[in-house]
Amino acid sequence: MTWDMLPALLPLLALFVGSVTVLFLPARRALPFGAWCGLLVIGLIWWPGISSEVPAPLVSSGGFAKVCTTLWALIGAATCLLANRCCLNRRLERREFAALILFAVFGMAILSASTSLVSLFLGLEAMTLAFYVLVAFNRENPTGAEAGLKYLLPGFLASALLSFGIALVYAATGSFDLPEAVLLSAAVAPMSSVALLGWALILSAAAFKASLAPFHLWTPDVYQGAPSPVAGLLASGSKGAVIAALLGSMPLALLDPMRPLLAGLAALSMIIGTFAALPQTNIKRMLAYSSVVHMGYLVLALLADQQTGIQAGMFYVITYGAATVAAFGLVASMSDSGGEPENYAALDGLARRSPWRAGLFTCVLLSLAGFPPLAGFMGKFVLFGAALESGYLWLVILALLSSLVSCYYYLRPIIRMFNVASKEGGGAPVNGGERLVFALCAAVILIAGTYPAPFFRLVANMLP
Amino acid sequence: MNGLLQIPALSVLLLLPLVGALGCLAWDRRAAIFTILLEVGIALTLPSEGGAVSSWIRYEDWQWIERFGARFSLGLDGFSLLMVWLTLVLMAVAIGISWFRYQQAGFYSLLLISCSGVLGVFLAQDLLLFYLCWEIMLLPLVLCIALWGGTKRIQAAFKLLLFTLAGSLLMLLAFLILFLLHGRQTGDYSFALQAVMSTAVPPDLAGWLFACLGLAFLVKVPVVPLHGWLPDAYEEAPTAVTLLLSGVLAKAGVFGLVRLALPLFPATWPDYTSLMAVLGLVSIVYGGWMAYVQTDLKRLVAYASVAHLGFIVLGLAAGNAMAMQGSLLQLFNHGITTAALFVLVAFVERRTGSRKLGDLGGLWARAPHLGGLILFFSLAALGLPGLNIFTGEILILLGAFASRPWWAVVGMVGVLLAACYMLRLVQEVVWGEPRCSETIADLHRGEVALLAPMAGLVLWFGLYPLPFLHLVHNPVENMLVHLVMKGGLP
Repeated sequence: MTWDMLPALLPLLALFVGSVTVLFLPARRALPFGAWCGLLVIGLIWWPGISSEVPAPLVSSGGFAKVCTTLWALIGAATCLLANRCCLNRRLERREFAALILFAVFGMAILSASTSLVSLFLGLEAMTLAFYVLVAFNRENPTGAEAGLKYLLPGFLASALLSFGIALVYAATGSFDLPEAVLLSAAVAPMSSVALLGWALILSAAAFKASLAPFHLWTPDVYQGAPSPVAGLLASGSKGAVIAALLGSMPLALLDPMRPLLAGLAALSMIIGTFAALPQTNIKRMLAYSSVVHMGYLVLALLADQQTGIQAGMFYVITYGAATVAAFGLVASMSDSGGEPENYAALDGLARRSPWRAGLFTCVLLSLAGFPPLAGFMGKFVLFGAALESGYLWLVILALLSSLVSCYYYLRPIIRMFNVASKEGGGAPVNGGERLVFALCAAVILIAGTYPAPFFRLVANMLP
Repeated sequence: MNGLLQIPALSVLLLLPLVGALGCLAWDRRAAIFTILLEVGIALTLPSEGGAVSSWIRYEDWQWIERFGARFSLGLDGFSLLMVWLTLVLMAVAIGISWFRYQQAGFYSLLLISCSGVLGVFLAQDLLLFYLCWEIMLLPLVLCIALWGGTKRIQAAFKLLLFTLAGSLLMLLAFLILFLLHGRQTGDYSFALQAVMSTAVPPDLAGWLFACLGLAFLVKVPVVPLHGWLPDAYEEAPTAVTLLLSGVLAKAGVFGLVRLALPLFPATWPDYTSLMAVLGLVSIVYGGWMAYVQTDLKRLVAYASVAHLGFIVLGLAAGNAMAMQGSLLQLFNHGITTAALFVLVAFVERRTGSRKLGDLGGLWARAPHLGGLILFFSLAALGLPGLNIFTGEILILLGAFASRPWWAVVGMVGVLLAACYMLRLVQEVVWGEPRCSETIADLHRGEVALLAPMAGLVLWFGLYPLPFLHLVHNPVENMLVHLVMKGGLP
């Protein structure tokens, strides 16, 4: 490792240094510092003066990694801004909170930029480690502790699967390098069945993290117990990073035997997630099951041809991320010292009490349901188009059916919000940071839905 | 024609309601009135600017999503012009009839968003844009039903949503497959309707795709086996939404059949005409029969509307110029008449507090203007010569007789049934002894102002439909030429 690799590693270093520095700041500065740190990282990535000619080992610094790191940094900054209210209400330690969020973003950035199985493992573990703490951050909340445990145990299992899988792949191909290891196991590996087993184990570890059915069982409880901003980061950032790693550096669909596995994961996630979401009456649990369905859609991008798959998948990650961050942010912004308004009943008459929140929540849920002209529709559209192009007609039909049924569970809270017979008492006013995040998310949802060309140009930059 | 050289009237027409919807929310619900007046103004200036001889009166085309070859292209010909007028008239009526009933600005904002979607459906020349508008027109109305409807509003709204969304997802699938097929054949990935029309679809696939599109459009109309959502939705919805559903959205379904399903699959179309004719006839007879046995006034009008829509589908299936012209004209006629009947039902309900036929009666004696208008529009609906429905129906039946005589014979039964249920309505509501003693107010001036233009249109289309037949003449000719050229018709 030499000095001229520094520009390539600068964003990652900034995240790491930031997460250490924030511990020494006064508590009230911690969360804003976290948000600024995220913006600083984005500046470092795109500043034209800092060009990275010499590639760093283990992590790439290409267009794909740049856009991904930008996304995670943005989501991390948004999480810091949204977390302010819930930290104050519940008297949580803001310094540790901000440090852990930055560390999780650090992990995501490594994960999505990894060019080697080693950095894949490191990134995934760094990210997960931060989340173990973040999920259970509110110790006084009994469901929080439960959620922490429920995230911890599958997390360990996933780590074990991942490391064993990596060992098998290395034994079979003799390479840690991505995507070389995939190509080797596709073509000439002497022990191709061992390699396949290894890849299957790695895939199942990834499925744990992305909560694809049948590895999704931890999701609803963790979402319910975790503080809402953390759940938002978990849903958009960590899952997005796992998917990005699968899209960018591990073209598993090149291995023919993996295709039925991927298709099966997608189909199961869509079916189980949809039916489990139907009877929910808790917003966070509903969003958890809906995220299972959305991850199922995203597997379609993995199955597609890699060029179109990356574009469709990353566009979908952007639209889904904006909607999810906004949804959990809204739940967080309506919380008071008594807790978060989790049940649909708490939404009754929100349109009267807080019209802007109700309007945004409606937009977000409709976007998740995939109604045009919102971003969710455009995302689904490109994703299903990509899957059709590679010949997965049955999966696309299944996806269309599941999005048809999904309208039911997305519309239920909307109707509660606009229910005229409502209880009184307005929510707390939206603070500045939240307003900024909400405006940004709303802008993404509306623009990506009506005029998505700039976003398509952005994701077209990500192609290798 | 380049949209840059002149005011892009179609784009303004399409986007203005969205601005109006924002205005409603930000300022006051009066923004809705200004918007709709402006829209009517723009729509009335449209025909004077281009020759009706060329196939497009106006065409506008903008960059939209380069990556997918989707363009923001809008085209207006005689047929879409007729539909745009219908939409705006009915939208104005819908806003007018809700004005004193619903105070919330959100209601008007949703109506305007839906208006924008409907106009988009009638103008879009790009499959993706069409699909986008198709969904935009539906969702606001579903929300209107779910929030402002009757007692069973949630179920009704979900039923409507699921039925129509199932159809439109099939449509999306068909569009995507067409897009990919076209891209593979020509290397030019594009959603433009003109481009996709030239795609050679393998015959075995064409049947499936046509069925997907057909289902999507026929659910919206609806024809009889697909009408499950209709009674509840029409009954529970606010009057404004009911009249938009029957007057405009149903038309969008037929419009889709004529504008997309037919030109995209001209070779498949003849295989399905018999099925469509049978569906149309079943709708005519079943709708008429159901209308006859209803005791709820709104449901009666709803089923009558199904029966009339059956005629339109029959006319399309007949596939000759006369029947098709009749069908397209009938779209407008049916929209006006049915909307007027729904408005009248709402007036009756406001005055007597009931929609049950058993509770009403003797309106003629107590409120002569109201009774008179009910009689007038009922006669129009049963097809009295000289009023608008007759013009369309006679053209459709003559055309159908020319192609398959027995279709016309069964269709005539429908005309007879129309007389039965409409006269029953008149008898139970207008004539007879008053069943309750209190006096009721006659129509006030605002209400007359709402209905008078519609009555005028009924007379105009009944007595002198020629200018409007000219409007739809060219589009019908183009369609038939396309059908013959692509080997669809012998």
